[in-house]
Amino acid sequence: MELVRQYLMSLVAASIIVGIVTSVVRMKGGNNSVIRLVCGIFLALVMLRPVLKLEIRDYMRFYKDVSLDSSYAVDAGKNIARDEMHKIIKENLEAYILDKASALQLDVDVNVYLTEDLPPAPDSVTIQGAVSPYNKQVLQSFLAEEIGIPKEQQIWQ
Amino acid sequence: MKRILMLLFLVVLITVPVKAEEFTAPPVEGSAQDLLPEESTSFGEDIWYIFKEAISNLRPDITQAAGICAGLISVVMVCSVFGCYKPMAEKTVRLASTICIAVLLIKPSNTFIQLGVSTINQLCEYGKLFLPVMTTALAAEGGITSATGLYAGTVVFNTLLSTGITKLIVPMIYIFLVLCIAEGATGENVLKNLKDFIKWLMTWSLKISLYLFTGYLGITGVVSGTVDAASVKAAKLALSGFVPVVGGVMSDASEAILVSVRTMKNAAGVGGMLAFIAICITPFLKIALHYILLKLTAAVCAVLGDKASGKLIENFTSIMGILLAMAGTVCLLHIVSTVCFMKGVG
Repeated sequence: MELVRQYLMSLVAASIIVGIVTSVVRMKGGNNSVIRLVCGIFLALVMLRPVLKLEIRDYMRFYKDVSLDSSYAVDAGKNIARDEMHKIIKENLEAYILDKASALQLDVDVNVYLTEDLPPAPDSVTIQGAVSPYNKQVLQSFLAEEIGIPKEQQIWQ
Repeated sequence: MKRILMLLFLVVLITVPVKAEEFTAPPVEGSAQDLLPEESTSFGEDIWYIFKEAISNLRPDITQAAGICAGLISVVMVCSVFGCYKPMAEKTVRLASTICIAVLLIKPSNTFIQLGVSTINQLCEYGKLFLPVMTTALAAEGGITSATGLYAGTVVFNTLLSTGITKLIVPMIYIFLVLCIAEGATGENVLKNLKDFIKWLMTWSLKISLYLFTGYLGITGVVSGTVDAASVKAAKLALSGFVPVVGGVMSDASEAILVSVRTMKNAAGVGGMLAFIAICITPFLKIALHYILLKLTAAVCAVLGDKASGKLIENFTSIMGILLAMAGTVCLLHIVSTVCFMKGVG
């Protein structure tokens, strides 16, 4: 933008100079055709010269900075959505498992671990509390079939 | 029955709100904060409240504008009367009236030019704080492509416009005023084409930048919005059909997040729009007041018989109009961009 500003300033200054020169020559009654030709060439040179010096390198760097800033903001939004989804899914699954455990009259603590994928899927579960072998088997089948956590990923404490 | 109760229990648990602190409009600094209502009711009422507060602060400006206009009319009347009694001193009278009008109008014009530039800077600075909030919110809603496109476009146009105004148009305004004063003093149309070119450049650069920006937003909204909507829908369909129970939980969690984020994003968007209007309205009304009164004064001066003085005042008035256009364009750019962010996905 600085280049464009300088270009227009030089153009305006050249125009003012040309205007003053032609006015003075007209007042003195001189041969103004040569003067007008010279002034015209001068104005044309002023118009063309700065255009050749125009550089676009700075504009590419500016656009790169803008793209970087936008990617930071977008990544922040994606992380917020992913974290909230992770939290909601974890809480809901733990409540679902606790509800099943309550139906079996079990008093346990459940901690579900999710994957880092999007969307986060259940990866493993830790169940703490006293559980009879029969109820453990029922709960294991429930976790494997309905939640999708295989027996190898179920930790009983 | 048990399954129904379980599902109802899950539905209740799903209504977990998303953290609110990430998606609020940043506070406004300076006198604009005083114009904002303490409690937001509806958008229309909030706008009306801002407008009433801004109008109530205009009394000193009304007095100042009236004083300037009275001074201008007095100068034109005196010069007109003197011209009638001394027709041979026409050039001297014209020079004197031009000098007096320039002295009366240069200082307020300079003040308003600086006011316009500072308003534009304030709008741009607030935009730099506000844009990342809306971009993050739109990305959290699932509008990743739209958010990137809108952010990049708004920043690029905002920077080009603000830099163009401060580095290009403002110097052009001063050159235009110099040429107008020279024309008024000499009685000759000094560099008329250059003067017309400068005025055309100032007006059309603002119009074209706004048209281009609106066109860019329209195209970006259609293209990237369609992509984002399809992505969100495809993800939801994949979730619900993939894993029993868990897929349903994921789908409902995704919907809950979308609704929460959209609500907060729209609230932040409304807050941001009100902030932009609050920043812009007081300077806008001040300049508009002088613009209207100077227009009236120019018409009165033309009636008094001195067309050259009327034309000079008219030229100063056109500068006020360009300042209004400058501030209005930048404010409108930010508001249109905010509306596009609020439109969201789909």
